[in-house]
Amino acid sequence: MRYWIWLALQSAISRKGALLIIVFSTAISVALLLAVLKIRDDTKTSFTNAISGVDLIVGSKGSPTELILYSVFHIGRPTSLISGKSIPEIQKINQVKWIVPIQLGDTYRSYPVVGTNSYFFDSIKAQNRSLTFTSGQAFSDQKDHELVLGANVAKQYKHRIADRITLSHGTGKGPAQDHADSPFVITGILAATGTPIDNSVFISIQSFNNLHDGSKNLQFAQLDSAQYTAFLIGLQQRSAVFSVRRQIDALKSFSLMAIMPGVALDELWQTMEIAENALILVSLGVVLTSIFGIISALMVSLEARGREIATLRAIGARPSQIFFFIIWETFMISLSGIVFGWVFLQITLLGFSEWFMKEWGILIQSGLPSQNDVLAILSILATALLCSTLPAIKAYRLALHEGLNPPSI
Amino acid sequence: MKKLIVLGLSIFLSGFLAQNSPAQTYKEIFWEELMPSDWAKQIEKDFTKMKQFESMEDSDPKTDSLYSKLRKQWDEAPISKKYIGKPIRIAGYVVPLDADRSKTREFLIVPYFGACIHTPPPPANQIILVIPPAGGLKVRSMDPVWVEGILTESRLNNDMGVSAYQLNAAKIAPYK
Repeated sequence: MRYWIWLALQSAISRKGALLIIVFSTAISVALLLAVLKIRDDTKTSFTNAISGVDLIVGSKGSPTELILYSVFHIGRPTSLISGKSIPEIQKINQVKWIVPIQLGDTYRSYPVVGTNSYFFDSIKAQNRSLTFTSGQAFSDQKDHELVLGANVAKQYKHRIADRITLSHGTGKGPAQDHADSPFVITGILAATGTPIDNSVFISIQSFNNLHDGSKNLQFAQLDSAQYTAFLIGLQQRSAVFSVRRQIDALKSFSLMAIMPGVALDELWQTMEIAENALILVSLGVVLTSIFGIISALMVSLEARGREIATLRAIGARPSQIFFFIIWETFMISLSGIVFGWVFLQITLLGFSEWFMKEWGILIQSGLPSQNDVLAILSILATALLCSTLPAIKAYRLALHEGLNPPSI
Repeated sequence: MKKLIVLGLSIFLSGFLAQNSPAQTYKEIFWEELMPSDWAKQIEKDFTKMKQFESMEDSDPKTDSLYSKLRKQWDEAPISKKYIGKPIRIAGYVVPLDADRSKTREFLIVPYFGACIHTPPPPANQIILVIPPAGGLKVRSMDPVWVEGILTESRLNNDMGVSAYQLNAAKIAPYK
């Protein structure tokens, strides 16, 4: 057996140029399929672990999908702002238990800055658990220039309590966008939640407004006149959600829209599934093409390998052994393609994971293959082996016919 | 050893069977049974009265005020105490609450498809908040499901005193 492995290897080495290209093409197609599977899985988990405990998200009238993507996941373009004057009106509605305003637009080294009040840390849950601080505490709503960091942001820049940092306006790209004149002090660092909260920087509404108004001391009484990206609302009884939603939509003097986060996200997901399936179909096609590539290359090469097979026969190989020789060769080619593809993908992911996190808020982790990946790899191998019976049968026939002597003219 | 294996197997099997025929039987109920009967009669009357207004235009302020009056009545619809504290089994459509896509997210069930998303929501006594059991079912918007559990009443400790249904689910299964 060991002798056969060695022989097949030697035979492969003697044809290394062509074989390397085949292995390379298999590797690329496998990497493509695994990447699609990986990104699908990781996006799913990223969207799975979102905030919970919020019954309604209120924003300006428009697309519910855009509102939830921007206000919860910090993805996409900003939605138009809503007036703080509506807060007392909403609070008047029966069943409204708490209302947490949110302002977005600034960044800290490309991590989004969320302007909110300290009530955020008490009311919002992540994966059904309340938020906790690994160190420090929430900022004070009454004090300016204090902030709370999400777990990833603190880890990335090794920030600690009482460090001073500077925020930037907008995406932070371009000249003179720093709010350098007003540095912030870190008062708390949140524990990791696996949600977009980990990648956010929290400051108080007061600080947010002061940053943008330029005036150093905005009176707290004026906060009603502030503009917000969204309000997060919690209810006394969750089943009253339809009634409250309708009452918010009906508030005459404000053009508000209240969305149910669960429904909005499910709708978004249904749209995404179509694109997802299309991507998987395309990458499956690519993998199949490369398997056919392996097989056709073997078929063609067999024409030229009549003498090799005849030699093997002459040293005592049975035709059935020639058959398995070819199957073995295909197995080795596909396996090395898969291994190279996987390694290639892991290296690429390592390089891009930070970019994914910052641009899309999606955590792509390199690591051991998931259950789906293993399934995909096994089916690629099985398909390759199944298809390799074609050249193997051809080799078997050749083994029966071909002699060592050159064909007589 | 053989005896032990047989014993183990039979314990395993009996546990399996016991799970299939629970000691607690869940009574299958219908949505109409969750409306107090006098309230349901009143609603019916209101609707017959509304027939007279059929000629009215949508933009008519009278229609508007009538609609919002009716809506308020529906939002504050009283619940029936008949099944409170009883084990029930009911089928309905899922309206998810949290943006969390896990098996533990709470959801509402409603009696008709599209309710509350594309069409007006049903009265408050036709909405049940479902608290899923550990290891529940991953549900999506408008999935039809069977839910089994004890029906409870969630009452507010304030002057409004509106009650609502809540079901602490023991089992959630896809509707077949």
